[in-house]
Amino acid sequence: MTNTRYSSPAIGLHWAIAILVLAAWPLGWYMADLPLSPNKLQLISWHKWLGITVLMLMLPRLLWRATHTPPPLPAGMPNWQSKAAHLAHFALYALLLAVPLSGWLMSSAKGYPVVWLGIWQLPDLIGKDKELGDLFKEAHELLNDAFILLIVTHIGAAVMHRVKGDGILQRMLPACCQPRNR
Amino acid sequence: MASPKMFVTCVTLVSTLVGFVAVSADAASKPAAVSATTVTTASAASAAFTQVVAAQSRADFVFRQMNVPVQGHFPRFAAQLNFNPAQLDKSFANLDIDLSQIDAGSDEANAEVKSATWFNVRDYPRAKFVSSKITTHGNGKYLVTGTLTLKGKSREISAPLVVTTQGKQAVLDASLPLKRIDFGIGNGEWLDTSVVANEVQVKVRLVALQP
Ligand code: HEM
Repeated sequence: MTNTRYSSPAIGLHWAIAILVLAAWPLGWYMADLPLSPNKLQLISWHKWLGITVLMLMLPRLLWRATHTPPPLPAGMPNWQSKAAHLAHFALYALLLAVPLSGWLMSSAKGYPVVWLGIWQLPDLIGKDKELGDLFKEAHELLNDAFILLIVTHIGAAVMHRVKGDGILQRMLPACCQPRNR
Repeated sequence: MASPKMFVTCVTLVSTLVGFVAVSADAASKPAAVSATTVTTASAASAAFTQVVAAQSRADFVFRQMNVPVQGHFPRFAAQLNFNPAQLDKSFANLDIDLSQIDAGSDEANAEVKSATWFNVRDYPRAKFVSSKITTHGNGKYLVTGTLTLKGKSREISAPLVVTTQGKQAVLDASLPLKRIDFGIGNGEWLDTSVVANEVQVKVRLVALQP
């Protein structure tokens, strides 16, 4: 019999990354337009740590996804819905890579290396180059606009599944956190 | 593969760190020192290195914010040099740095560091180093001592200096770990050295020729 739930590692990675992204996004949005101050520099560093951690967790996540089949969607689901779900999930994976990568590229091009948790200095992806730095900053912002739209859609779909009671939300919830009433 | 517990641990760790750790990993303190080059007019045997090749000489610095090393640069400076290994007592190396041209890594940083909180380049447009003494401990290694004047404050500093000579050319590399707060660079909220470290490493390279 095929699984009807996601496996524990898939659930763990999903929620770890969700928490990190839901912290990194508003932090990035808030800090970006602050005037220069020690507080801003601190927030930028924390933002980078969160984002780079997302990138690091995406490695096992993609590996897991590539070597496991997710539980099938319920048989009764309309075709357009399963198509939309696959497309949205693919785009989310792409942005989960592209958003932090564009941030890392921006940092490298602007001449500010990433020192993860203030401890581990990551290699620069590219050399210092003001024009490229501005370009990747634009890219980071645009990708983040797309990202938040998709995240909102994703959460909206999860809520819709919960309201419909088709069990789609529950299969990504850890065993500890299942809602009582089905 | 990793267990869910591991991922939860990971998330917890990260959130905890983000929440509570103000990582203030200031660059490890190193013995202070500084400065530049020197030389003396020659004895008949060996001429002093006196002609600084501006195009090949540089003055750079590195500072750390949140333990992130950021490279900076002084595009304009003048050096007065008279370096003769055989006559160190007559050797000297003086520097005059144009702070209004400082490049601290980005446009935003450049505007900030020229302000009164930092270098106050309007009132103190130049930094000066005047050497008083050069000593050697062999193998092309020297110690330059002199007075650094920055933002109206003068302090005696010593900088290790490494000199490599090749024919009529000498390359002098001096490195100077400065403490910015000693000179009032970065006041107010920036006195918090857990974000921008107190220690700033200035590196000067002079390429000089014998006449
Ligand atoms: C999941 C990962 C990430 C998310 C969701 C995210 C989100 C954001 C958002 C929403 C902004 C505000 C953009 C705007 O001004 O409209 C931002 C800005 C920024 N992000 Fe990220 N980011 C992520 C990863 C990273 C990484 C890995 C780095 C660098 C290593 C980074 C560096 C920056 C920087 C420096 C800014 C400020 C840009 C500026 O205004 O100068 N981000 N981020």
